[in-house]
Amino acid sequence: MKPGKLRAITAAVPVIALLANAPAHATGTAEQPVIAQVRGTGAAAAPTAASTAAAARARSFATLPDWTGIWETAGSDAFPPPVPKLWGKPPYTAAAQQKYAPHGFPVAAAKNLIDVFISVAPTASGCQDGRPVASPGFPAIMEIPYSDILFELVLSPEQTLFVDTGGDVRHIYTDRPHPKPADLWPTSMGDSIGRWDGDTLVIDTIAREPGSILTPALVPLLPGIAELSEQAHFTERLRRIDADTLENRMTIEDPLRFTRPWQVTIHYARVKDVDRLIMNGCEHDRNPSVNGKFIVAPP
Amino acid sequence: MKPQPASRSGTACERCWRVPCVVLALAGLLLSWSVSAHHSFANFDMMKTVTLHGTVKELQWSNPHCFVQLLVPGTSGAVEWSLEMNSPLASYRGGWRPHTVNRGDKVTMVINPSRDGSSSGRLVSAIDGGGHILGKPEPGGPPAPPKAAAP
Repeated sequence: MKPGKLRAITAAVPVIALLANAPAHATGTAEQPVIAQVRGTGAAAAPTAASTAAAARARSFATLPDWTGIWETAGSDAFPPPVPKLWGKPPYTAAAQQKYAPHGFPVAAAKNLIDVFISVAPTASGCQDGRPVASPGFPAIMEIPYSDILFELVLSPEQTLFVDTGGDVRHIYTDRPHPKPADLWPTSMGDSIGRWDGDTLVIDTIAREPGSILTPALVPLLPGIAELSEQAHFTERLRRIDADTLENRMTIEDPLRFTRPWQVTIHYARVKDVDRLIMNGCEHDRNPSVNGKFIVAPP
Repeated sequence: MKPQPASRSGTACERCWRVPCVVLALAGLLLSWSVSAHHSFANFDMMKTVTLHGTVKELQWSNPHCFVQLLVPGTSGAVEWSLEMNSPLASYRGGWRPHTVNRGDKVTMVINPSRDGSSSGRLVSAIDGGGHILGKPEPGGPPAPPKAAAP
């Protein structure tokens, strides 16, 4: 037995003994049978409903693909980074284009993000009162080629979690349907459920609040960016295509705005130069916004 | 604190460095760190560069972006420059740490200057007094600033 394993078992013995209501002296010489009994896998223990469920859950875990790690939108390490495809030209109806993009799609026409930023010249800090002004929301959060917008994937049999450095968390429940309509209301992230199609996670999202595909706070700065209705329906097919790349084939259907489904394929690259998920923050804001301009002078 | 005119673009290049200004202009075109969240750098002129040689007052490992406060000698005393970096996470990925530079360190920094003429800018690249690149050079990133001429 490896020393580390021995230490772990030794440390667990008092707790296990307490749980099993066994005399402490009984664990000193027979540690393995006690542990087996508590885990419900020993020959001496009859399977219980709980232990059977736990074993089934463990088997479910084993069927999940290994997407463990921290990921970023591919191209985030390029300079200048590309304009996100989701900031591009949607398949608007003529009426929708007239209403929401009467001056065309200048952001979609930009060569890269620097062109976008130079042309729009935002002055807001991004933080206010120690908190981010706004979340990008879904679906924009799934394609932000910034070097500090990363996400960690956590997979379990019940849900897949996207935990984002901006503070957003997407819960993709894989063990339940969407809530009943009466129990649901629009939010910036919408309501997401998923199912496994082999090693592909198929995500279905509804109840995303109507409005810009990106945070409303930035809409005036990004002319022509897509506007979605309350009927927008999102399907994502997420799979790993190689050791360090995930592919997300996203389809957005919007019967009130689009002439056809809008399909966007986004890739994510495994992040290898951080050792933990470091959250972006707004506490102790170094550049507070004053009179519409953020401060860079000495504090 | 008002900036010293002698510290501005072009003048600083010609006065301080024995390299063609085109090298620094190239640095400005290529730029350095990837884009960060929170806010853009549109208040800085990203097509211009200024090279500063000074003494670190403080590296502020702060939200939403980190800063280097740099004291640059001027004709009437030191001028404090606020040099904006990326977020702590993006700076970390760029090889910076909270104590990569410390108070009193002599450094050379290439920046994109503020459009409003204030003594501030976006930090593009930097070397320490020994000529070592500060942070992690990125593929496709700009060259390090030239080593300071001997005083």
